[in-house]
Amino acid sequence: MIFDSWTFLAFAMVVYPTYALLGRGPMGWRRQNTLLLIASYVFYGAWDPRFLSLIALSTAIDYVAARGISASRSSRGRNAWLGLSCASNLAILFAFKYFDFFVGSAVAGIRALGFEANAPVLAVILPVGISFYTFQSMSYAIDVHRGRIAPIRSLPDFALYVAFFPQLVAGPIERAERLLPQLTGPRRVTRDHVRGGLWLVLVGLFKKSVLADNLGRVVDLAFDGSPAGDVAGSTCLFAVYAFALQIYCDFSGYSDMARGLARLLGIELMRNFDRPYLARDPREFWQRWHISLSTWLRDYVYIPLGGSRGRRFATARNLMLTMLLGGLWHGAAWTFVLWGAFHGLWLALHRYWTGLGLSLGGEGPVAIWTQRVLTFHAVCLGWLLFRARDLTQVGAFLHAIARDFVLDENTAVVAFTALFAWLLLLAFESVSRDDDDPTRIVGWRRANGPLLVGTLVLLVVALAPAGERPFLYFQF
Amino acid sequence: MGRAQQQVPVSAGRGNPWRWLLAPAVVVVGLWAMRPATQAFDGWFDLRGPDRAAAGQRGTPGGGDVRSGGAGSGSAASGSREASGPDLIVLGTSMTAAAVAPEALAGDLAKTLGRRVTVRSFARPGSTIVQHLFGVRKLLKQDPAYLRGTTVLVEAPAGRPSWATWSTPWHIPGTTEFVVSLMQNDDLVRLWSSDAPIAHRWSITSAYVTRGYDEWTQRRSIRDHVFRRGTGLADALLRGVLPARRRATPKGPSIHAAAGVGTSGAELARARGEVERELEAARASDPPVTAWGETVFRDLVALVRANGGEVAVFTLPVSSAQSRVLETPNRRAIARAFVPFARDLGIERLEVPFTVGRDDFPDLRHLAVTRRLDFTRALATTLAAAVRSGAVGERLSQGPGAAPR
Repeated sequence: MIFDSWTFLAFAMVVYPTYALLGRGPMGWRRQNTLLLIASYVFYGAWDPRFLSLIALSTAIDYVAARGISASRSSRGRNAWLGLSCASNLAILFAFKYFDFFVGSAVAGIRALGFEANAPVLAVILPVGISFYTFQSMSYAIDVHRGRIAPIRSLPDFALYVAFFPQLVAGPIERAERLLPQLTGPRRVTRDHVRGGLWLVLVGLFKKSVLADNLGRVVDLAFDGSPAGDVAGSTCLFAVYAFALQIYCDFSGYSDMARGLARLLGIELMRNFDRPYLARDPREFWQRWHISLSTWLRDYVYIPLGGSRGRRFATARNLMLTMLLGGLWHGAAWTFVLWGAFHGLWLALHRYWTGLGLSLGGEGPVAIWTQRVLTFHAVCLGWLLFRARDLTQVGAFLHAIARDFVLDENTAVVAFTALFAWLLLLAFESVSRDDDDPTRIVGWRRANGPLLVGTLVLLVVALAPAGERPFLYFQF
Repeated sequence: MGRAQQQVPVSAGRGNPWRWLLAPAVVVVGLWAMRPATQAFDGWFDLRGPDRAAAGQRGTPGGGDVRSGGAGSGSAASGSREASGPDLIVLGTSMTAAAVAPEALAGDLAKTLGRRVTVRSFARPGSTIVQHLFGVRKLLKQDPAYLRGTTVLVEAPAGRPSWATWSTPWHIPGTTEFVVSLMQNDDLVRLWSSDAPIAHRWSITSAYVTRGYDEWTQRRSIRDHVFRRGTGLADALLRGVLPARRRATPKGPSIHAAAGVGTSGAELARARGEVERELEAARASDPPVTAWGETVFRDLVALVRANGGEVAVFTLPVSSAQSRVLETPNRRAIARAFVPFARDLGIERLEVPFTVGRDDFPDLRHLAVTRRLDFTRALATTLAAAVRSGAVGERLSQGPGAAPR
């Protein structure tokens, strides 16, 4: 059940009015929580009911582990409970997401050395959103261990925290200290919640259906439509630009919708994107891109590894390890590992040269835009690693861009779609200023508000491709 | 209340609420303005397509007459309706669309039988037997006499027609609208009383319930128009700036465009990759043996017969890769069971003698365009022989101008 489907609309038309009705009375929020928990399990079970057991298992493990951590008097006991939580969660993640990858890679490595090797593979379907809810659930146990939050008493409320449907399958990865207090108390849905929520849903729908889905078709055409060496350089370049926008619109569109849907329930989720392609360096990029994951990795991996407290080499190592893990989090493939390594290396180099006092230009507009353009293109190089089928395709695309910059039969459609989508997004962002609050848009209270809303709806109706196209980040 | 909730901004003033009428006005006017620039999407199986008027003037040299279905056709403006349907209707998937040239079939039959023959092909990429049954039903709704005396030829790859039951998915992924455009309300009852996967049942139901949205907005054609025009513009601009890749002059498309897979090298490579993956998956799973009496094909036969027509199946050549898939134990059992089933129901099986080589299936599924006319001729010869022997084609066997039964 994806947000931009008729099925979800039917689901929402049942859940939201019922939620509003149940909210009446002093303990209405408890009834609302029961409804949300049932709705969240129905939402997730619509993909495959068998995977409900996994999410229930993750929930039970972290609930019990957090209670155990809190009840333990010795640090040894607390560590044991935390170890149980982390080991169990990572074991589930490993079994469903990484087992076949590591075993397959090992077998391929042994065969490459000239030995015969065979090993069983599990060949299980990857449960939707497993990386998101596993990280969210695990961070709760870690935060209880660190003493940042107290363990929650109510198992259903904790289950709702793990399975809250707006952000269950593709984030944002919420922290317990932010989301749990909102779930365990009365909520009031105001007029501003409704307006802001609907606005975010519409913006997300526009980014996903109009921009990302149309871009996805031409990106697939360029990356999957021909043998790697058969694509002209111009098509390769436009396809990479198109993918940069597709992945941003797809994921930030989902995040916008998730935040909008939660806001309609009176719950605020964290902002996950902040115009990432305006970043001037890799550090800033990661402060703007998938913020909930980058802060998670910072707080639970990078800082525990030592962060930037050690020597230059230790910092670079910590950055590299964190980003390698971030790459692997996205998927079980060497291209993702390489993508993580690329960002780790880039961050380490950036830290090194800024440590030497080097920078590109000053603070004037030309320097700023030069930095932005260069950073964007480095990010695009990363996206090529991310999207490519394999390393051969990466090499073929780079070679074609450098040595074979001509037209082929797909160049025009890829170029037009990429350019059209970029222009639409720029026009929209220049009007909306990427603001959560639509009333801050110039002229909103006059004609601009309705004109903008009408135009977005028109674009969604007229230009969204037929058929459902899942969000890219569901596979992670 | 949570800390974060306080971040929700509070508006200062409201403005005139009537201004919000502008929003739906923008949508309606925008769609209205875009409509004239686009073409309406007509569903398949429509007696009213523009091809109909053209078809009457498009007689083949041998006196044959041909019509194709109305997919993607223009306005449904044609007024006159035939008293009865064509002599021959061809039903099938993209495999038949690639392998059978309706014009040539009509011409060859006309030459052999010495009379004018009308052929209408509804072979379409992405179609299923359920869609064809619904399509035939739609034709009969428009003209109850349409099938009287008509021979309905159904494709049978390697000698076996579709053995799908009502519990088999009704459409292939991504083509929901094709089946939905032909459905009627009571089909939902049939859908929900089948054992089709819940997700499939739900996707068809939601698409059926909301079909008016697509029809009213005509979003499909608007979108296609915008992107087609934009691509053309980009192409013109880019050609002024960048050189085009030099390629050896192609000898022509490898697969007929009617197969719907595209004919460029890139599209063919992609289609071949997809087919390889599909075949691999199909080889790995052997479907349960289905009784032919429970198939949609049997219901199609019953529908055609009840309305005065007859059904015959014709053998369609398949690639060696595809034939390997058909050789699993259960698939073989299904094929064996078809022979007595067809005999009992009096369904003629046209074994078309046609030899294929390794290079005849560029994407492993569809016959190469260079063999299209050869196969069509072989089919016409086999069919003409069956007509002469009286096995099929009561109307075809009668002289020119024969009236339907």
